[in-house]
Amino acid sequence: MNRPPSGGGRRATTGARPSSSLRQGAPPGTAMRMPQGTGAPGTARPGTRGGVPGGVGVLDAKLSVTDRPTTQQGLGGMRTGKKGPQRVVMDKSYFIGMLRTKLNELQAENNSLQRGIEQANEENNSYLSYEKRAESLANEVKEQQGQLGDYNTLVDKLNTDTAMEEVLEDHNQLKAQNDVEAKNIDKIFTQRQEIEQNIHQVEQEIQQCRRMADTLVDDMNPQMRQKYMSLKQTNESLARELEARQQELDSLNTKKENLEDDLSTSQVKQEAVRLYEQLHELEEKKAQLIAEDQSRGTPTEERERLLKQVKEDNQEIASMDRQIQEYRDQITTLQDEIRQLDLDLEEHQGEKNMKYKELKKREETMTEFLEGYEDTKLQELEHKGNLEENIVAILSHMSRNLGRTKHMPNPQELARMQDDLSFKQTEMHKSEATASSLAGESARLQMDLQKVEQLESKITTELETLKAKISTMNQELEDYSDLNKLRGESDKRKQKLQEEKVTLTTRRDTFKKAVQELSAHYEATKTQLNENETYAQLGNLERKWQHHEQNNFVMKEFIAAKSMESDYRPLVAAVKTQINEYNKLVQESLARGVQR
Amino acid sequence: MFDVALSGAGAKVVLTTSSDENYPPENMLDGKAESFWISTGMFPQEFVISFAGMMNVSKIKLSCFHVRGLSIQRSVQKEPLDFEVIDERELTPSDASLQLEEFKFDETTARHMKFIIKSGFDHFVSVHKLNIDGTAVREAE
Amino acid sequence: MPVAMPVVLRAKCVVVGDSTVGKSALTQVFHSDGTHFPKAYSMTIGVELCVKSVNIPETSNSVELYIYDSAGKEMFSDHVQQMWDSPSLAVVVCDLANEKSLSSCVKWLERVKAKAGRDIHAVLVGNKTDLDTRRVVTAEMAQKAAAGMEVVYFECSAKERENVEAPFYFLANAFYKQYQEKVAMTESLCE
Repeated sequence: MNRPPSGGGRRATTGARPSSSLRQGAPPGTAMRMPQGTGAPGTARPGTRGGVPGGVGVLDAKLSVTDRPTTQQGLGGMRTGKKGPQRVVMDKSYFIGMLRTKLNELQAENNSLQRGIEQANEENNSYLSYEKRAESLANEVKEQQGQLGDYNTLVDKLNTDTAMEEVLEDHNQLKAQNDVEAKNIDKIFTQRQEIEQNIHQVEQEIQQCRRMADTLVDDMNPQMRQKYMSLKQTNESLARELEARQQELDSLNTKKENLEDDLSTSQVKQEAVRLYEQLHELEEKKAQLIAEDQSRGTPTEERERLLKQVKEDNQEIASMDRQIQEYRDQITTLQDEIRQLDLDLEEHQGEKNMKYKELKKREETMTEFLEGYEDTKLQELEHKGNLEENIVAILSHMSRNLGRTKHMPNPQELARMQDDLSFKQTEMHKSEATASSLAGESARLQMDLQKVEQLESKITTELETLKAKISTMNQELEDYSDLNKLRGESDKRKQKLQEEKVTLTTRRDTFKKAVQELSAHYEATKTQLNENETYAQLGNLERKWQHHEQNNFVMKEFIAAKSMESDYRPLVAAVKTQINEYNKLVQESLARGVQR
Repeated sequence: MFDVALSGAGAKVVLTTSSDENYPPENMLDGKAESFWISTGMFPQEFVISFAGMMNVSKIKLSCFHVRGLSIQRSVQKEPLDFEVIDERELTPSDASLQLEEFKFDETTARHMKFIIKSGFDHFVSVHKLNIDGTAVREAE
Repeated sequence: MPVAMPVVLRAKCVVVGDSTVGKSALTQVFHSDGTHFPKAYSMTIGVELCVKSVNIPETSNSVELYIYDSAGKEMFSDHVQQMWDSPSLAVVVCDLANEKSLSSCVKWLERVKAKAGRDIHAVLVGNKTDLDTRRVVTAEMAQKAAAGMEVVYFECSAKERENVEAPFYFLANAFYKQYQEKVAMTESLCE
C-alpha cells in the first residue's frame, strides 16, 4: 500500500523487478526472490522490505519460507548462524572477499535474471505468434461455421423438398439485398470521402487565413505589432481565465445539484436551508439598513438634500408646465387660424352661394306653380261647385225637417212603432230557427234516402240469389225425385269406393310392411350406434359442450343487458336529432324575424 | 311380350308415397300419357308395382317429368319385401317436354318392382306412363 | 255430393341462421302452437326435425312442414349442409339485437340455395323484437336486406309468441300455389 509504484512495477512485467530491487536495495545479501503470490495486495508487504530503509517501520508477521528475515537495516540481520565461523578481523581483504562474493552472487543473479528476460521475450514472441495463429484459426473457424450453416440450410431444404425455384429465388433475393447494401456502403463511402475533402479544404483555408494574418502582422509597424501582441496575450489570458471560471462554474453547479439532491431527501437539511435563507434575507436587510443609516447622514444634510431634490423637481415641473402651456397656445392659435380661414371661405363664397341657392329655389317654385296652376284651378272650381251643391241640399233638408217636426208622432205612436219593431224582430228570429232546423231535417232525410237505396240494391241481389236457389232446388227436386237414378249413382259410387278401399287397404298393408322393415333397420342401426364407444364419447362431449354454451349464452345475455343499461349511444343520437330540429326552428324564426 | 304393367293386365300400385286424389297413381298404369301421377313434394319418392304373377322383365319404358335420380328394384317374394337394385340412373332434364327413358334388362324375374325417385329437377315430379315389357313365367309348384 | 279428399303436401323446410338467433325457439314455439318456449338456451347439435301441419285457408288441403332446425355454429356447418338435401322452403333467421347475424343471413341463404340447386321459397325472419332496448337492426335495414336477397321479411318474437306463425303460413301458401301451378303446367304439357 505504501509503495504502489513498486507494486505496480512488479505487476507489470517480470523484467521490471530486478531494476526496482537494484534501485532500492542497498546491498541485499541475496537477491530477493519473487514472493509467492506476487501482485496480491496482501503480499505487497514483502516489497516494502526492499524499500527505502526506515520507510516502513512494521515488519510483516506473515513470513513465507522464501522470504529472508530482515530488519530495519536491511537484509542479513539474523543469518549469522548460517555463515559459519565469522572472521573477527574486518580488514580490507575481508571486505574485498565479501565484495567479491557479493559480486559473484550478483553476477549469478544477473545471469539468471537475463535468462529470465530472454525467456520472457521468447514467451512474448511465441505469445504473439500464438495470437496470430489463434486469429487465423478463429477466422478459419468462422469460415467453417459459415460453410456448415450453408450445408445445414441445404440439408433442410432437401428435407423439406423445397423446389429449386424457391432456393434460386431466395438466392436471388439475398443477392439483391447484398447489392443494395453494397451500393449503400459505396454511397456512404463516397459521402465520407467528400466530407473528408471538404474538411481538407476548410483546413487549408484556415491555414491560409492564419498565414495571411501572420503576414499582416509582420507588415505592421513595430508599435502596432507590440500592441497586437499585447492584445493577443491579454486575449489568451482572458480566454484561459474564462475557461477556468467556466470550469469552476460547472463544478459549482454540479455541487449545487448534488447538494440540492441531498437536500431534497433529508428534511433536516431542508429546514436548515430554509433557516439559512431566512438568515440570508435578514442579513441583507441588516446590511441595507446599515447602508441607509450610513448614507443617511445628519438630518440637516438630509433636509438639504431633500430640499435640493425638491427644488430640482420643482424646476423640472415648472419647465414642463411652460412647455405644456406653449404647446397649448400653439394649438389654440392654429385652431383660430383654421376657423378664420373657414369663415373667410364661407363669407367669400357663402353669401353669393346662399343668394344663388335662394334664387334658384324661388324659380323652381314659381315654375311649378305656373305649371300646375290650370289644374289646381279646375279642381278648386269643382270643389267649390260640390260644396255649393251640398250646401243647397243641406239647406233643403233642413227646411224639410223643420217642416216635418210639425208632423212628429206622439209618444203613443212611438210606442206602437217600437212594439211593431220588436214583434218583427222576434218573427225574424223564429224564422231563422225554423230555417236551421229545416236544414238539419233535410240532411237526415238525405241519409235515410241513401240507406234505403243500399237496402234496395241488397234486396235485389238477395232476390237474385233466391231465384237461383229456387232454380237449383227445383233441379234437385227433379234429381231426388228420380230415385232410380239416385240409387244407380249411389251404387256406382259405392262400387268405386269399394274398389278404392281395396286398393287403399293393399297399399296400407304394403306400407305397414315397408314401415316395419324400415323401422327394424332403424332400430338395429340405432342400437349399433349406441353400442359404439365413439358415439357415446361424442354424446358426452356434446352434452358438455351444450352445458358450456348455455353458460356462455347466459353470460352474454347478462353482459348485453347490463351494457345496454349504460349505453349512451341511443341517447346521443336522440339528443343530436333534437338539437338539429331545434336549430332548424331557430333558424326559421330568425329568418322570419329578419324578413319582417 | 306384352306390357305387364297395364292395370288391365292385373298390375297394381300397392305403395306410393304421394297421393293426390285428382292424380292418383293409377294414372301411371293406364297406358295414357295425358293422365299422370304427381308427387306432393320432398324426396325420395317411391312407388311399388305388383304384377299378377311372376314376370320375366326385359324392358321398361318410363315417361316422366323433372325426374333426376331414379333407382329400380325388384322382388321375387310373395310380399313386396327384400328388394334388390337392378338399375340406377340419373336422367337428363327436359324442360318443355316429357322425359322418355328406357331401361333394358336380360332375364330379370320379378313379382314386384319398386321405383325410387331419389331427386328431381323441381320440387314436384310427375310420372305419366309406365311401360314394362315382359312375359309371364310359369311358376313351379 | 262427393267430398274431395284433402290433398296433403309435404315440404322440407330448413331453418337456418347464426348461432343463438332463436331458430330452435322459433321452431319449438311454432310446433307447440305457442305453449312451449325454451327459456334456457340449449345449443342445437346437428339438425333437429319436427313436423307441423299447416292448413291452407279456404280449402281442406294442408301442407305438412318437415322443419329441419339446423345448428348455427360454424363447427356444424358441413354436417348440417349434408342434411339439407333438396329443400323446398327456407327460413333464414336473424337476431334484431345482433347486427352481424343480419349480414350472415346472405351467406346462409347462399348455402341453402347452393344445396337446393334451384329456386326455392325463402323468408327472412327477424327474431327477438321484445328486446327493443337492445335492438340495433331497424326494420328498414332488414327490409333492405330482404329485398337484396329477394325474399319477404317478417318480424317476430318467439318469447312473446308474437307473429311466429306468419312466416311459416306464408311459406306453406307459397308452396301450395307452386304445387297448383305445377299441376296446371303438367296438364297443359300433356295436351
